[in-house]
Amino acid sequence: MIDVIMDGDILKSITRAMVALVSEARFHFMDDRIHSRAVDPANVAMVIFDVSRENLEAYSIDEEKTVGVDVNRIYDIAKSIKKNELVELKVEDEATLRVKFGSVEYSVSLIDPSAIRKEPKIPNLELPAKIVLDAGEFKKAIAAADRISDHVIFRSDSTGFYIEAEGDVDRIVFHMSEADLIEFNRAEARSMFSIEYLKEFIKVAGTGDMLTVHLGTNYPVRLVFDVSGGKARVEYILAPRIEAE
Amino acid sequence: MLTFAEFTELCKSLEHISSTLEKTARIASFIKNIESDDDLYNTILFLSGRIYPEWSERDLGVGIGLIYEALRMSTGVDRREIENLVREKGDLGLSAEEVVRKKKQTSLFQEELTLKKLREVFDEMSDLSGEGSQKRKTILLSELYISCSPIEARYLTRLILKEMRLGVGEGIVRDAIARAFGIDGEIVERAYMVTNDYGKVAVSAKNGGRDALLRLKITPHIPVKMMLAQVAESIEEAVRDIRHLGVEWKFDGTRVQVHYSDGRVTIYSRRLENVTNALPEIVREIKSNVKEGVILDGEIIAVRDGKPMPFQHVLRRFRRKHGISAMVEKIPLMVYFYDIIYDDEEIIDLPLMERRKRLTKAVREGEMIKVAQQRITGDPEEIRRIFDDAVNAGHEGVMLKNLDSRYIPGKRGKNWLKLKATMETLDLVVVGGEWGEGKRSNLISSFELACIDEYGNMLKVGKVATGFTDEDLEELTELFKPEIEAQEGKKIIFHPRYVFEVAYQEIQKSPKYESGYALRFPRFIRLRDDKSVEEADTIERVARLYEMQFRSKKHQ
Repeated sequence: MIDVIMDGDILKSITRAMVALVSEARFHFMDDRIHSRAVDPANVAMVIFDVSRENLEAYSIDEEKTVGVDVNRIYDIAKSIKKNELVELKVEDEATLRVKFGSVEYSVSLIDPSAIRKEPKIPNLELPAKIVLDAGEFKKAIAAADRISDHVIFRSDSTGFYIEAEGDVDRIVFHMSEADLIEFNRAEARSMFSIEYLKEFIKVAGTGDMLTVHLGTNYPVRLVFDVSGGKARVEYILAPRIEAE
Repeated sequence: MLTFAEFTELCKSLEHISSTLEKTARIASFIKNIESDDDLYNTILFLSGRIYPEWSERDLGVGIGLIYEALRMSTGVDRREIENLVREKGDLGLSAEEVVRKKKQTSLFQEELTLKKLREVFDEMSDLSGEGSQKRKTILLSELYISCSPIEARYLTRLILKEMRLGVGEGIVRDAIARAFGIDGEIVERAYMVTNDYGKVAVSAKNGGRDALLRLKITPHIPVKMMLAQVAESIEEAVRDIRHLGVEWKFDGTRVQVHYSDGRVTIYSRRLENVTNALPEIVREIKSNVKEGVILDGEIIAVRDGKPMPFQHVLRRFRRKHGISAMVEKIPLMVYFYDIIYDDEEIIDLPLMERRKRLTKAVREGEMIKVAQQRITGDPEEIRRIFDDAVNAGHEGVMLKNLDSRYIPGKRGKNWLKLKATMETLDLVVVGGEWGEGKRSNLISSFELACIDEYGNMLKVGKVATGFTDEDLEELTELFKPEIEAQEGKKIIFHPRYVFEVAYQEIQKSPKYESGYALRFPRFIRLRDDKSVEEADTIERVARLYEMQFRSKKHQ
């Protein structure tokens, strides 16, 4: 038996985070947190979310439990949750997840977790550059780059953090100096990424949310978003594209 | 554990070796060093371009479209671009290799592929059915492509298409097993003929040697390769060569092997496909008229008002998966049995005369079930009379059989001779086509044909656009749509899968096609659904027919 009460916005964020890559996922209800992670079918990106117990209004589980969730379905439902509304999640038998908020209660069938692709381990990555910025700024840069190209370069050196995109005729450089950044270690790094993925990722965050970028050279990037007023942590790991010589 | 990289390394070297002996030696030394039975089994099957033994009902159910989609998911290269590559390279395997090489997106995880892993994924794919199965298969296949190096993608694609293009035929596999495990080639071949699974033969040879192979026997419900006939040069020669001659009609139907044992009937086509479900009325008749514990060899024909219908109709019945009962009414069938190879035990070593006695005992004739008439005679006049009767009754000609001969599965020998009335036709692989014009613009209305060489390469010899009814074209268009590999304007490239029998007025030398020959006025006779691409006519046969017409012209 699982019974959780949380800020409705958390449910919205974490399901939004998952649907960027998969339609089904295993949710782990653990002693100290709710955790889930998944990899897209092409193994290009991974999504991980964690909501720790302290950030939940109420949390009661008999034992640690894993359930299979149709995240598209739950995200659809969560979209109609109003601001500041609380939501209750309940699993009483193996088959159904009940989602209750306001005056409605949805009963959604659970998926056999063994029928969902097993999530791989989180890769251990050594990434030199660490950049912390407002997710809203990052969002603007990706949206602008999307208009002219299907890939972007993330670059960092002592002069700041750059997001660059090149189209057939246009070129965009988005530059934030150390002063514009919340935190920055001035390390050198450079990798290229697909915008197709990035533009799905940024939907999870808005202005005021904090984003931490861990960047290497021709290496996967870690994008860690603190969302829902810092109550949930959503991380994406994205494999780089190969830069043409 | 054998990795897919090691296997593709072998494939790559085989593709570059032209000598049969060298190919055999290479495979023999490779399989000799394989430790695990499963790896050995998979290697043998995969080398032959098979995922399951040819008679198995299991199938990946993966079409060209699904391969394109899986490649797109794993590399980001879309169908249009891959089609361009196919047009350029003429091979989906090479195109997949190029696509993976061009891949711009890296992935987070890459698993080293092993034959064991491939087998697991293939089994999972073939078990899938119903809603969502196509999507799941696409994901499974794209996961394999993600883990593929470019060269691995080449052979993975070819394996899925069941066409390795290594020039490794059954003969080479047989000799390689014989050589690797020090067993006589004929014993290996016999073991294959009764099991139809070289993977199983190789594993038995590895574990039990010669004795284990000799212990492999014909088992009901596992198909046995059919004995084949050679073309008779003339009646006179046949009479001279064969002392005890049995003459039977050669029916215009299609070959079947009927297994009836343990209360169960299984019917296999000439290609050893299980066609039981398409033939409910025959199954019923067999259960009430045939003794249990037998395997029978015969021919199914379609009949209407006592007259045989063209053999095409029988194939139409075989292909049916839905609405079978309506077809039972529309195309009534009957079966003529002429041999028996299992009668509570394997009896292929009995002479035909003895087998026929067993056959007539095992089968009670009825409306739908007959034992083919056999006339024992050495008189050319009488044989000619029987031949005329057969042709007048709408059949193809006669079979001349040596009554002292054993049943030799899979062999085309001099013990069975066929004498046909029709002219020489060619069985050619359909490799391309073109959409029609005007009211036929939604139909594929011409087809490009190719013969094969010893490596399985397709060599074009012409285009056929006549001899089709509108109904034929509609049916063929539906049949060929899933085989489209690439299109440009009206032109289509097909995955080579089907064989057409075509007639023609003449074979000419021509620089236009890579075969060096062109057919003059080719005409479609029928779809040879009972023949696989490997069984199509070879460039050698085309050349021989070309020479023959030259000779006969000179005589005139």
